Parts: sequence; C-alpha cells; structure tokens
Amino acid sequence: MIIVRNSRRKVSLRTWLTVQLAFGGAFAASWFCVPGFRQQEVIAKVTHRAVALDVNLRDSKLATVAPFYDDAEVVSDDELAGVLKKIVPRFSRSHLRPNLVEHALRTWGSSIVFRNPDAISGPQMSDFLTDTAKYMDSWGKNNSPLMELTPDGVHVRWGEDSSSSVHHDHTLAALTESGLPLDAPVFTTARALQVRDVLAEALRDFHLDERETEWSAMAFTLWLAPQKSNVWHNGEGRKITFDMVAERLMRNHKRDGVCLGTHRVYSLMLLLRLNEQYGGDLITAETKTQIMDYLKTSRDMIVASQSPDGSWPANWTDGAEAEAKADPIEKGYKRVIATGHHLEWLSIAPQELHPPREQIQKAANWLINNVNETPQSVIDQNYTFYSHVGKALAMWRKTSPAEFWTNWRETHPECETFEASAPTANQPGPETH
Amino acid sequence: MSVVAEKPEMTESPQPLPSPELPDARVLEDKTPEWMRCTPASVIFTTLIGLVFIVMASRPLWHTDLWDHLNYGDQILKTGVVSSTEPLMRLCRGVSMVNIPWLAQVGLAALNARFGLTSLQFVYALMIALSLALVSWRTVKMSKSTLGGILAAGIFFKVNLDQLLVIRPQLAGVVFYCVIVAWMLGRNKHTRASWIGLPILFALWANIHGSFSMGLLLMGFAGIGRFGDVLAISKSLRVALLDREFHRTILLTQLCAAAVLLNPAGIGVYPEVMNVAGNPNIESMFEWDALTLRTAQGQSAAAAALLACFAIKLSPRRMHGGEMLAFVATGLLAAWSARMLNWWAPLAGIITGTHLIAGMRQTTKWLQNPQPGKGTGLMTLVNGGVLWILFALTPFGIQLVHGRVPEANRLVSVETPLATVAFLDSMETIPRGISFVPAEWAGYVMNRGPKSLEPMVNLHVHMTPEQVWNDYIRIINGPSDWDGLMNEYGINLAIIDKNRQPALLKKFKESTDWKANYEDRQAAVFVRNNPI
Repeated sequence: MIIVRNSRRKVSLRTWLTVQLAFGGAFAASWFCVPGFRQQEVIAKVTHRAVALDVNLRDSKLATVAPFYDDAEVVSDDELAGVLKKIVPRFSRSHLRPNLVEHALRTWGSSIVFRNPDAISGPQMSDFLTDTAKYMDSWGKNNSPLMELTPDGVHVRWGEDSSSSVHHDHTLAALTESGLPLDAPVFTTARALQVRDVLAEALRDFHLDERETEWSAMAFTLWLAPQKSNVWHNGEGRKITFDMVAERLMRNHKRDGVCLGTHRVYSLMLLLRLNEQYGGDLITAETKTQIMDYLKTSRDMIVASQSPDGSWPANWTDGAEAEAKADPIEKGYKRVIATGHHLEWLSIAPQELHPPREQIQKAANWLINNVNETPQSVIDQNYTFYSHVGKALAMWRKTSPAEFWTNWRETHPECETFEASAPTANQPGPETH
Repeated sequence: MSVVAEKPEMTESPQPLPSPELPDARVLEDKTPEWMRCTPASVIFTTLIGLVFIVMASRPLWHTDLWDHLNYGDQILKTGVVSSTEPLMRLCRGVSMVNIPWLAQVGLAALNARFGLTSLQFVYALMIALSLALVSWRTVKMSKSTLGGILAAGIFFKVNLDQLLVIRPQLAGVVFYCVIVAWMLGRNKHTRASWIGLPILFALWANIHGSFSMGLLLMGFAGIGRFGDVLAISKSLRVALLDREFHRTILLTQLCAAAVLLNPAGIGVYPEVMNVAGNPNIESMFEWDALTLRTAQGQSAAAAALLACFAIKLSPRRMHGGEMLAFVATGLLAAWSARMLNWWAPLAGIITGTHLIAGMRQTTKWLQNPQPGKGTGLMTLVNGGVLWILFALTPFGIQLVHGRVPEANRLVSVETPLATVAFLDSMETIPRGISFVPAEWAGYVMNRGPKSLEPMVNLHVHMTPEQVWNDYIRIINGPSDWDGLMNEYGINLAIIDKNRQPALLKKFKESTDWKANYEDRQAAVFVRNNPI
C-alpha cells in the first residue's frame, strides 16, 4: 500500500498567483533582456528553423566596379569584336544548362537584345534562370526546378547534375553581375518571389567552410557594400563578417579553388575595390593589408610563371618553377582559364598589383590568337572559359561586352551573322566551371 | 653511644598507590550541539568514501576536456566577459556560443592559477565524494541500514565510473543532481530549506552545467508521480488535482525553472541544452554512443539494472510513481546515450540499496528492527580527524601543508603530450595558419604550448562548424585526399597521435611535402616544406 502523506496546509490562491507572476515575469524579463538577434536564435532553435536574417535588403542597391583601363594595345576594337562574336550565346534551347546561361548572362548582362534570333538575349537568359516555367520548357516537367521553394524563401538547386547550377551561389552571382535588381521576379512552382529572396536565402545558408565561397563572397559584397553592412548572421546563427569571408578566401593553398584558384583572386580584388568605394568600413585595415599581400604574391607568381607565348599555365602558383613542374599532359583549355581569369581581375586592379604591361599585352595577344584559331565548336564546348576571355578583354577597354557590342553593331550590322547554325545540343565541356 | 643502624630499605615490592578514580564517561554530558553530532555509521562512510576520495585526488588529471575548459576560463578571467561567440578557435569564429559552464571554467582556471593542478585534483575528488555521500545518505535514511548506504554508493560508483574518470563541469552537475535525487526520494519535500535552497541551487547549476535540465526533469517526475499516486489511491481525478503536495511540487519546479534564467545567456540557456545534445558533431563522440553490452560500463549498467529489478521484486516496499518514472526514464536515456548514465546511476544505487535491504530484512534476522544510530560528539571528533588525515594525504594537502608540488608528469595522464609541447615551445617560430592537432590534445597544446599555435578543432565539438568537424574526422583516418584537406585549411604544422592515427602518420611519412621535425613514442610533429 502506498502511503500518501498529505500536507496540512493547502496552497492559497495568492501563493499560486504570486508564483505564476514570478515565473511568467522571469521568463518575460529574460526574453526582453537578450539582444534581438539572440531572440531570433532562440526562436530558431525552438522551431528548428533557420535564424532570421538580420540584414535589411529592402532598399539595397547594387554596387558596380568599373574597370580602370582603356588600353587599345592590350586589345583593339577589331580584336575585341572578333572575340565577342565567338561568345555570342547561341545555345540550343533544349536542355539548356544553367551553367552556360549563367556565364553568358554575367558576360552580356540582362539587358542586351541580340538581333540574331539564334542568340539568346539578356532578358531571355535571366528569365530562364528566374522563371520556373521557362526553365521547364527547356528541361521538361519531370525535372526538378532550378528555383526551389523553401519554408524561408527560395533556394537555387546546385550540384553535379547538368540541369542544376554547378556552384553554390553561382546563379546569384551571375544575376547580380548582370545587373538584375533585387525586386526582379523569381517564379517558383508555387509562388512568385524576388531576387531579393534568393539573396536572403544565400546569406542564410552560407557556410564559411564550404568548398566554394568565391561566388557567395562576390554577390554579398556587391549587394551589401552600398548599404555598408559588413556583418550578418547566417541561418545557424553564426556571425559572418567580410573579414572572415576574406580570410576564408585566402586560407587555402593558392592553387586550390575553382578555375585554378583564380576566382578567389577576383573576389578578393572586388572586395578591396568596394571597400574603398564605400568608405573603407567593409573590412578592417588588417584584412586589407592581408588581401594586398595575397594579391601581390599572386602578381609575383604570374610575373614569374608566364610562358614565352604569353599564356599563364595551370600551375601558375608555382611561379618561376611553373615550367619545370608543369603537367606534361596539361589540357590546352587550362591556359585559357588561367590567362582569361587573370586578365579579368587585373582589369579592376590598381597598377601596383600589375605585372609589367608587356606581360599583360602578351597574355591578351595569346588569348586573342587562341580565340581566333579555335574552331567555334570547340569554343562552344568550352563556352564558360571563353566567356571570361570576352569579358576580360572588354574590361581592358573600360567597357562591357554588351556596351561594346551594341555600339559595334551600329557600324557593323553584319556582326551577328554567323556561318554555322546554332548548336543543337549543350554538351558539357571538358571541365565544369 | 650507640650506633643505630639505619633501617634498611624495604626490599619487598611496594604497594601500588591508590589511583584517583576516573569519572564514568557514560555519565558525562555531551556538550556538542545536537546538529553536530555524528553517528558511528557516519565514521564508516567517512572512511570508505574518504578512501575513494584519496584515490581520486591522487589520480593524474585526464587530458581531454579539462584543458579546453581551463582555456575558456582563462579567457573569461582575462577579458572579464563571457563571450557570446566562440572566442578561442579561429575556425569557429563567429559561431554563436551559449557558454553554460562559464562559472565552472572560471572556478577551475582561478584555482589552477592560484594553487596549480593539485587543487583541480582535489576539487575533482571532492565532487565524486560529495556525490557518493549524498547517495549513501539518502539510502541510509530510506533503508535505515548502513549496509544499504554502502551498497547504493558502490553501485553508483561502479556504474558511473567511466563518466567519473574525466574532470569536467559535469561532475558538479552530478553533485547537484544527487541533491535533487535525495530531495525527490525524501519525505519532506517542501521545507523552508527547499523553497529557498533549491532555486539558489538551480541558479548556480545553470551557470555550471547544462544538466540542470535533468534536475528540472526529475522535479517534474516528482510532481507527475505524486499526481499518479494520489489518483491511483483515491481513484478521483479531482482529489489528485487538488492534492497539496502536487501543487507545491509544481510551484517549486516553476521557481527553480525561473531561477535557471539567472545566467549570462538568460532564456537562451534552455534551447541550448537541446542544441548540444542534438548537434550532429556529437555523433562522432564515442561517449555519446548508445550503451552497449560490449563495454564495461554497459555490463555494469546491465548488472545494476538486473539487481535493481530483483531488489524491487523482493522488496515489500512499494515504489512511488515519481521514483519509478525517474528510474525508467533515465534508464532509457542511458540506453540511448552512455553519457546519460550519470543521471541513472544515482537512482539505480539508491533504489537497489533501499529495496534490497528491505527485501533481505524479511529473512535476515540481524537486519530486522534497525535502531537509529545515536550521534555523539566523539564521533564528530573522529570524523574530523579522519577528514583531516584524508586532506593531508592528498597531493593538494601535501602541497599546502608541506609545500611539496608533485612533478607535472604525475599530475596529468600519460596521454598528455608533455614532451611534444616542450618541443613546440622550443621551436623558434610556429608556421603560420591553422595547425592540425588531435582534438584531445588541442586544449593542452593551447594552454601550455606556444600562443601562436592555432589548432583546427578542440573538444568543444558542438561549437565546431559541421564541415570543419567532418573534415577533421576524415583527416584523422588518413584518407587518400588528406593532403587536399591540409591544403584546404592552409595547414602548415601537424601533430600526429602515433597510436591513434597510424594511417595518417604513414601518409605524412611518405609525403615529400612534409618533414618530421620531432618524434617520440607518442607523437610526431610535421612541418610543411613550403608553407602555404
């Protein structure tokens, strides 16, 4: 038999109420005592959702980084036109790879309208990426959409699959570089959102230690620099600053990273430029010094590693030993990657970060010759790499491919006439980019 | 004239002088205050628990968690701030941190700074002794048997031994938990001391270890159990709902839950408790694995569970609802994760000790009609003497009394990389960037090694970004892409645990990019030929 001892005095209503008041009051007081961000974190942990974004994206303006130089000795108008003609986006509309479109979009921008109907114009490219219906027209209804609706916004599907974007935040970076505003619509299978939601999701799901942070870093800098937001919290509640992003980009061995480690150099250069453009509060002075040291080392490496023909090898990080350590079976397109990408970041870099101008000219010449000599079919297969060549060379004329092309075709109306018809398939190149 | 010869001295044996009669001690009045008087049984417990205390206070400090906690404690003492983001590890920068055990870390760091490692050994042993004392005390009170108390303490100690071997804030949590177990299993749950003491205890507990949640859970079980007991007897929901003890338990639990909010993170401490347990990185920590019969602690727990069932079956005592709920629920938790044995072991000890004695009392004559031991001042004096001897025999006592400090290698476990850290200290420069250091050694290396050395991870795995931890786990197994991962993190210096990471050691030795700068029986230090 269980003996249940009952206390003599019952608990008075006043005691009950007093304790309830103390209990509720303590929790309420504690709630209001913690900072707003901590409150969001508590909510997120309790509900198992991502921490709400603490950056205001309502009035965000897109930053632009203008190239510094207009050097016809690097590339002449005719040469540039010749190169750009080869990278006019003439893809088959069926099973159109987002990776191709993203590269074409960042190169040509979202406004250009080609006269040749075989070419995909800027609005069509941005529609393909942001409108699920257009994407489905290409890939069929059974394919997963590129823009996936999440409880908190919209996530861009990425991975190895050719129907997805190849790199994390590459779509966002392409949309950003193409000049699309944040309020541009994004149509998912269920509802209409905006590019703003894609950016918000990217800021939330950004992890500092993921393999590829180059495009995230670039997109975030371009959107957050104008409003001088240098810190935010990701969906796990981790505080992220641009100092941390920069440190992450510089952490690895220089040869690591997409496109032979050149994208991180570009992202760092962009960060440095935007920091100066917007008051210098984006990163600390210490980080700025570290980035400068990193870029100077990169410069020294390309100075020392340039091949006699003007190209930069895949192992440019080996510097003076590059030739000796070169891979004997190195694929030719790797030099296109290295040389094109280096010229791109150098176009927005101050002269102190430049190799001697002759080296830049040699590199540009090599690229121009390479483009001219390479059959269109090969360029189509390696479109992603060659798109950087076109953009880099245009930037060395202090312009953009779209701006140059629009002006060029006024005097050269035949420039959008092509010998071969548009490719019928979108075969992936030798290496994804 | 006559010569009177002197009378020779008596040669016969002298008669003993009558000694003064001693007063009968039995008639002396014991002037020791009532509350200070100890029973003879208490001397037995003081001696037995004291022996455990001496052994534990002389054990070398386990090399894992301690040093991380000391590092965080040092950092708080240095800055005067409990950081809201991870303050020490470069790869964890910006990671939100609710540092629940900050007070324990500060205490450990302050003790270490003032008295050195022997004081930590002392505190470590004291925590274990206090837990044993609480378990014994409650069992003796319930079973009215010294044997029951010894049995309970023995079961608790054996089952929980693996958890007790590591010095960490959790030990203080175990002590607090034992207080709550003792409170829960006692009869007078709502004394003035409970209303004042328990909220204070919880306020302190929430700043020392996350196990305060287990204490609150136990109090919840006490309330639910009481409700169930009354309902079962009265068969009336109304009576059960109006039960006064049920009400008081609810109110006291609420006050304790509110007291928990008195910590630097405030309300954030509650979700953090669940966050730690649910962290994916925890899955790779073997001590969080499910309990299995393949381990010694699993076998001990199984034996204790069988014994407890046997004792309950044998016992004429009936289990209260709360007691049963707590025993089963914490048992299931322990089966889920071995680390939860901490919360089952005290209950298992007390329940087994109490019920076994109750069962045996029916058939064993000398256990029947137990008489409560009478407390005397003499026993208090004996206890005091034993305690002093115990204190004086500990390394800390020896240090305080005689000024002798044991050598470092006697104070820390053999796994502590003393020689490796001595080598690192002798290096002129530490290669820049992150260093690969086994997580178990990272705390010690950071505490005693060069300040510029930044390990990839430490044992606060729940603070480590998932990707970093996964990569670390990959690296220690020496995968084919080990050098890629080293490049990924810009690692220029690596310390390899030769015993635990043989595959990785082989890779390093075969690589031409790395050079072994140091090697002993325990570790090897490799430096990259061309730093990143």
